[in-house]
Amino acid sequence: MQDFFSRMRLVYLTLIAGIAAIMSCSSLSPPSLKPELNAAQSNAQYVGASVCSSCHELESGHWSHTVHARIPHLAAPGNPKVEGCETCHGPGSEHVSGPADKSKIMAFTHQSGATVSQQNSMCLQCHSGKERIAWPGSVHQMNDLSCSDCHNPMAQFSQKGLLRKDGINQTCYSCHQQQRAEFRKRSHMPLPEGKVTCIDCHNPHGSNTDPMLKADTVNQVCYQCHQEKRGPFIWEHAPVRESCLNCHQPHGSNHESLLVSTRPFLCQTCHTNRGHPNDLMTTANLASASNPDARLINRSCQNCHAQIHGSNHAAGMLFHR
Amino acid sequence: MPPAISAGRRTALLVALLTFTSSAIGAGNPPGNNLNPTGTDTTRIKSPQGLSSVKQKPSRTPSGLLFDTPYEPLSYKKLNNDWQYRGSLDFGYLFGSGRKSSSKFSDYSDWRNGPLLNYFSLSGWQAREGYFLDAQGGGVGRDDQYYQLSTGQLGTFRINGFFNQTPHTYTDNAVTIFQGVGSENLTLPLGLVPGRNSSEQIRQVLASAYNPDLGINREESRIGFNYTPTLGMKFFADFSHETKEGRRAFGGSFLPPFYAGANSGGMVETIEPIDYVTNEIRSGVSYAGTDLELNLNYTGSFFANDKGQLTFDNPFTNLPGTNFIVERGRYDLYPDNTFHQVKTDLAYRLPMRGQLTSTLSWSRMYQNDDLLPSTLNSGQTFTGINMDQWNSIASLPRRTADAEITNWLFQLGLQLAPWDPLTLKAKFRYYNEANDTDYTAFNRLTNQYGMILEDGAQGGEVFRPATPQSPFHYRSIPFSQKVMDWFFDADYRLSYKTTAGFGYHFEQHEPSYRERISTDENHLKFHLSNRSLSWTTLRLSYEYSTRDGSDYDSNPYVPFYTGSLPGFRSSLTDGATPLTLADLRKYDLSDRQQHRIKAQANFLLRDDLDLIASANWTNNVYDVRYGLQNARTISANLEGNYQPSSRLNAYAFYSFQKQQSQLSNINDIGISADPYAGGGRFPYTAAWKESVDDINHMIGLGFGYRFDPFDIDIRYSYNWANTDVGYDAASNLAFANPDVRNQAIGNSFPIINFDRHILETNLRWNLRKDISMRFYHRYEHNTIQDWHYDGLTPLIGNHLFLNAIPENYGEHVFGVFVQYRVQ
Repeated sequence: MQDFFSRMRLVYLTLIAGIAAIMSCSSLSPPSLKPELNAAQSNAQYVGASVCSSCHELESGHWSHTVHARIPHLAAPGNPKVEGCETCHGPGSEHVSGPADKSKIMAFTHQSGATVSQQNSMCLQCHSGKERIAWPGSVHQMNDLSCSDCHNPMAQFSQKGLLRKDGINQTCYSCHQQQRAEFRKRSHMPLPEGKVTCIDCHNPHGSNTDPMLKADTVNQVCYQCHQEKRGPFIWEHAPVRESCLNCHQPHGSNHESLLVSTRPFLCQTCHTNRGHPNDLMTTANLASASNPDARLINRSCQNCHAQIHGSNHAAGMLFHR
Repeated sequence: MPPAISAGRRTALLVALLTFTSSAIGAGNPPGNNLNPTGTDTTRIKSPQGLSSVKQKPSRTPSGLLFDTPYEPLSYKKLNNDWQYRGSLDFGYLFGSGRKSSSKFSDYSDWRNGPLLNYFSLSGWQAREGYFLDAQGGGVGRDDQYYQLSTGQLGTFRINGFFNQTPHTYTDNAVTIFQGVGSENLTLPLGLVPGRNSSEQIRQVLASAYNPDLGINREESRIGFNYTPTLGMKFFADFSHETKEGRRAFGGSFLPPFYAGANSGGMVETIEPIDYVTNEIRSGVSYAGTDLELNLNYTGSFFANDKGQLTFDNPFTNLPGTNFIVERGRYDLYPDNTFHQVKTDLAYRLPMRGQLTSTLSWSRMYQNDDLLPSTLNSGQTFTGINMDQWNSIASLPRRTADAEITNWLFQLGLQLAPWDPLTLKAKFRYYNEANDTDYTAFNRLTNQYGMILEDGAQGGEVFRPATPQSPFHYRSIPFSQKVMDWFFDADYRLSYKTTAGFGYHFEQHEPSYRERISTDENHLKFHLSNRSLSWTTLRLSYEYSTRDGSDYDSNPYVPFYTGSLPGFRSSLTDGATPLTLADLRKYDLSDRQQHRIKAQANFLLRDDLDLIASANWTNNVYDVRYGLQNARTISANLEGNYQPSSRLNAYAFYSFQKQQSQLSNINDIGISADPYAGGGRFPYTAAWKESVDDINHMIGLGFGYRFDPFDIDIRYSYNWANTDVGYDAASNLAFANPDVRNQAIGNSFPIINFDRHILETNLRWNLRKDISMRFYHRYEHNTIQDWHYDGLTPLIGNHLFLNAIPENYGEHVFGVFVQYRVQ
């Protein structure tokens, strides 16, 4: 514990010193929420939404049915006189005079002349904080993902969230094809069936965990739905308490109950205790063979050790009861 | 003229609107069901005009993927001068092949024949002051139904509620002789006496056994409220109520047959009753200002199990001894528990495009259920223990569990961009999980440490000072852990669309009461994101990590075993019975080297054609002689999307994954205190190893086309998997049954196969702008072969199984629907 406090003191002092040094650089003031326009657009003037829709009538038509359009006189927080299209796309005068040049307007596409950071700054004018508080440094941010890689506010696809696909899972599958295949395995949570979404476990905007989980640990995510496994129990099973992922693959498995491997061999990777755990089960122990054995067939070890997540029984230290 | 709404409030509108859809508030985001997985309006029609009439080429995301063709916007009708509304309905009739070949077809779904209100929606909106009402739902009255209701005033408050039902079907082909399925008491039928029946008597009763449905029905309701008093400030609170009811296969043993042969108590598969209720509260406040962002959240979760125990009759007889009959067993099922968490997140903007972030979180898990005695039986066990002194509450060391775990999380991060292309990040994370549970198996009536095992069927363990015996586990082990992480990352923007990065991550894990006091893991990571090329977007990452740590102690549990008690005397002359093979390393703590490569490329083949390719490779090598030795995964995916016009889209994909693992172990066949490999207890002649290879394939095809007045959507997916389990042994001494003849020392189990075809077709006839007819067909075909269940019958010697063998199925479902849109 003393070691921890010493380390913490060092970290704090370093950070405070660093912050003080940075703050002393008076020319480098904290950035506001002003959007970051690229150089070609920085001298442009606002022209008004009616000018935009004179050419982009179809886009305006689609956009007018989205939640952004429900807001009367939508305007940027830093510039209340700016309304409508230019709230997100920036001033449009340069674009009006040279529409073929993609750098003269803030576009949220592959051909855009703006960096991802600049594009995202337009959204973050309003959508900062809350679940996006951990965006900087998240794996999506570090892979240069733009807000418009997942969202398309120009039309209504999804029921909520202005996603670019009809649903949350479909949006994630755009890049995470492997998870799409895993959720079709023999045992899986009901994502394909529409009952669970990727964001029931993950926060795609970033979190304080590397895999962008919505809770502090893997287990806390799982306990959101599997509350009965929370315990604590008077007889704990160490790998269970440490991490559900020691035994389970949450995206899908070829084995029952999302297990990472087949029983009893999964258990035998750790258990070679005196008694029976380390006997090699063979084809002779199958149900129709000469020596059918409950340690192999049906649910294997859990035929007897049913309380494998932990037991609260006075005689439950072997998880039989 | 609508009253002006301040710019500040307008900004807050978006924050308020999006809160309840946020990815940070628990589970249960916009629900749907198998007929409508996205929960969106099924009556919508794709717009033939596409997304833009101005652009020459279709738009793509910054990562290069084609944007989908949008739907024709649903127009609003005027209700009065203030309010507008719209709505839609999708209703009809489902009918299927009715063969009901397997209940698994209905897992997570409700495909029953009959009328179906597949989807409804009603939205109202008052433009002047921003009041709104949105209601939608589907599968009305069915086991997979869902509903959502939102109302409020944009920018001021919002009330949101939903209900979601999920059926989880295990099987309907289980067989049981027990009565009282679903209750806390499973009893034998008339004609059988607990603990006194022969296999033949059980076989006769099985002839009239019945098939209980095994499955769980989950229903979740949630209501939430958020309020935005000022710009950037929001308060929210939501309450959810969830129930899970049903039954699932469970265990039960009275000394399994492999221990004592035909006369042993047996193994009986019981049925666990599920009757869970969870109430959850989440509330908090968030602030997002120019420089400062702050979240403060509280979560409280309260779980109750209304079926807290399971008593089951023993269908078999027990070990020889005319005075010893084990009549029943009893489980103490999952206890009620509570969870509280207070968490705060902070982000503060700094110069040099910097940001300071911090998280502080405290949580507590607690349960204090009444404990059950060691046994519910009477009489004397075959080991001479009088169970009458162990079957009452008075025998317990205390009445309740008093089990508690407290968690702390602290995180601090700093990000700076000292000059434009370079971004530096540092982060420190500290997680502490402290388990304060302390239970000792002690009988206050007899003043003895110990317990009755399997309700007497396995006798019991009682500590007798100075009497030769093996040590046994008598105290709870309060597994705890501390994890500290240090992260350092540097990203450099090589061009305005290309970024490369380097990261170093050090993790120190300090588990308590485990085989290692600490493990240290170093990670090095490189990543590259390239969007500079006009024809492709490329993302690559490579991570190398290595884990080592303190010395490995194969038996850190000595203080929790009776071998540590004064007066302990080992039954072995050369020391205490070893707990385990000292050379085995548990893979969550063993030394390990890991390589991870991820690559993804999006190819912009043509203006209307995407090709996405990705590959992942993870290789774990554990530096161990016994235990898990390696675990590898390789995955590859290929997907093409074709969108030549707003009327036509098609896709095809293929996914492959191979997972391999190998483990080794030794059978303890000797009587010796030597815990090491090659010694008297774990001789090399009893060594064995095993490998598991999982291979998965999946293909998917999709086609959508609008040819007025029709539109059609066809989707097909086929996934198939093989699992190959093989083993090798040094000799037959490794086997569970070394005396059985004709057992090859190297062999493999039959391949576990699984495959599933799903073909889904929607053909819609758009009769008018507001009315369509939809014809639906689904064909789903599934086969499974799993050696765990091959040859399984309900009664095998002294094993009584539910015989819930996975079944194949092939089912057609047809639907005819009418769709109505308010236009």
